[in-house]
Amino acid sequence: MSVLTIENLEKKYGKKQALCGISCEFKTGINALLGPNGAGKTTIMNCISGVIPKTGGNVLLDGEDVFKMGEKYREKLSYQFQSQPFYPSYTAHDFLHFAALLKGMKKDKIEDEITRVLSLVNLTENINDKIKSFSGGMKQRLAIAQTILNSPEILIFDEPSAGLDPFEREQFKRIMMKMKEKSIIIISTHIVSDIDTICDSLVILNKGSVVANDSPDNLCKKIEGLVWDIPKEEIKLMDYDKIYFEDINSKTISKSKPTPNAKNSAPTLNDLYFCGQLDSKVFSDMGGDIK
Amino acid sequence: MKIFSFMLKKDMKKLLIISALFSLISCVFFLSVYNNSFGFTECYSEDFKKYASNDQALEELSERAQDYEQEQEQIYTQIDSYISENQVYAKPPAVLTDELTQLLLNARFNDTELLEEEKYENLYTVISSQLLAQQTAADNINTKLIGYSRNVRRGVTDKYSLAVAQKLTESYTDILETLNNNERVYDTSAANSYLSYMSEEIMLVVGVYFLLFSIFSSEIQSRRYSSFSITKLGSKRFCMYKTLEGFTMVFIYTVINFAFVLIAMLIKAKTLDAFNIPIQYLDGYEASTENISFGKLVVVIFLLKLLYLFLLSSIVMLFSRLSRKTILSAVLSLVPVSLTYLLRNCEGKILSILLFKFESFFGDINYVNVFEYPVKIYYLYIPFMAACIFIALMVLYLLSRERSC
Repeated sequence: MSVLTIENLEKKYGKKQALCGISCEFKTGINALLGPNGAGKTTIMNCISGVIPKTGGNVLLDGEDVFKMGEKYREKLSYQFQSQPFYPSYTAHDFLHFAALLKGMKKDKIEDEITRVLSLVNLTENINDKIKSFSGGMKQRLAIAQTILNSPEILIFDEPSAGLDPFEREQFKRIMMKMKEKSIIIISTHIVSDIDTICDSLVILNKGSVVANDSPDNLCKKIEGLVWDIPKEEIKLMDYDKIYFEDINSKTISKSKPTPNAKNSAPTLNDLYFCGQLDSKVFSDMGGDIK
Repeated sequence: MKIFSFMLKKDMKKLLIISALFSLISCVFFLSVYNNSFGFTECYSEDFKKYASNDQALEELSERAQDYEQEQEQIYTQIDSYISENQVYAKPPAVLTDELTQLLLNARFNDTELLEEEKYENLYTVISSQLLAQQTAADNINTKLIGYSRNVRRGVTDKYSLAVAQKLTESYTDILETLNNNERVYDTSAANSYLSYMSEEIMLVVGVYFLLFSIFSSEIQSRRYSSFSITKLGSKRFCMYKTLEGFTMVFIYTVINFAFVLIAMLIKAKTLDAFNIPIQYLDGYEASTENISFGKLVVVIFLLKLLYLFLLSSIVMLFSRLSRKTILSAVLSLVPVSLTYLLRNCEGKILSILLFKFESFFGDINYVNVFEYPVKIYYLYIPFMAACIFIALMVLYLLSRERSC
């Protein structure tokens, strides 16, 4: 089992501290990065992959500094950008062929691999269509296809389900489940349903810091008894900034009963996410990594 | 190399479109240069063959030319007389008489017979000057040879002058032998037009600009560069292949452009013999120290021009790499391209080397004093260009070093 370790990772843009000394581990399996916009999810992934230089800290793969590994590390890595750049005049086949060459794949394996990944993302019929004719969802699926090409050891997905319909989102989850046995998969999202049933490890971020880092089950246990369903008629008794809505329920995070008829609710991943945003002290009290 | 060939294959369509379009424009420019000097007949090369090989026909043409010239002189004499007789206080008259005006107009626009005569006058002038150049080429070289041989005998002590005189004596001796052994009479119209066009042509440089100004900036602006840099290939090798692709495109474009214009030249020349013309028969090359034919000169110009275009390509690609936006690289890359065009009429040995003005490379005495030793200018040009290309590529390489991984 491989482990990608981040130690005190820092990133500054001028005076702005985008990452505040983040430390966490990503093991073989599906690792989710959860957080609101601007939390630092994309910045972490860009630093891990080398797209942008880090200001401080280390990134280690099985104890070895990835930035000294050079090509050996890049060979294992595949990254799907939030907005994946393409050559608009290329066909899907051309682009994947080019991506395969960039990844150093052997010529005799390329065609079969292209066929395999396109069938996984349901783009087989569009293999010879130009990318400029693709819809946003199709481009996203093509981006996923080029990321899983050659089954790399480290896969990084930045908002992979943006633009995908519910069926395609489920298909993405199925692909991840198949690949998780042999790869370190890092998925960044602010849509909890993308990863709620599949992730093995969860890192919750807020304002450049880790708020919580553990398996979803362990984190949910930590907030048992803190999640409250608020009846509709009692919502007005609450500070609205402390309320969030899940399905038909109005909920809040509180150590004590917030309204007279509030009821405890079994914590979900969604509750974990809002816990991290509404009251990060909940996790620091339980040993989170806030700086 | 698989990646390089893939990249080139994908950009081949753009390359061929730009090459074909700009090469056609080059042909149009060449034909306009040719037609300005020789387009007054329907087929100059046929006329040349007829008159140059037939002394009697040439003499008759000469007589017609003289008659026409005399007629024209008479008209202008009449006009001058009228003006001098009708001046008021040293001011010429505002208008000519109707009769004189009509004479002038007839000569220029209405009188078909006169226009025919003018054509023959022009034909004689052009053909005779070509024949004269070929007849006197050997004598001109011989005069120079005697002059330089005399320098050596007269005890000139300046080391460089002696060395140059020695080299020139050897060169001109060989050239004289070639010219004296040549009995052919050549139609040099197409070759002269080609060289005249090549000294002014700009489409090669414009083509390089359009092919390369966005080669890196489009990758950076679209973030494809970041995306490809973190693959196994890495940013160094990606840049290397892109640079190689750029040079290859420029090479292919140059070959196509040269081919198009040479084909146009051959269509006008109507013979392949043009490639055998000793360059001393050509305008501006009478005193050339190179014992080569026009065909070899074209090959040498192609190779040296290619080197110059590679330098220009390196600079344009470097600017493209430095620019985060394609619009910025488009503007920056215009600088070296524009300088090439704006400085081409300026004098100076250094500018001749920097801008590859081939007329000064081959047109006259082409030696440069290097530590009291005469060196042919193109022997300096080649390492200088190679060094500049190397520096530009080194900067490009340093810019593309892997940032983190």
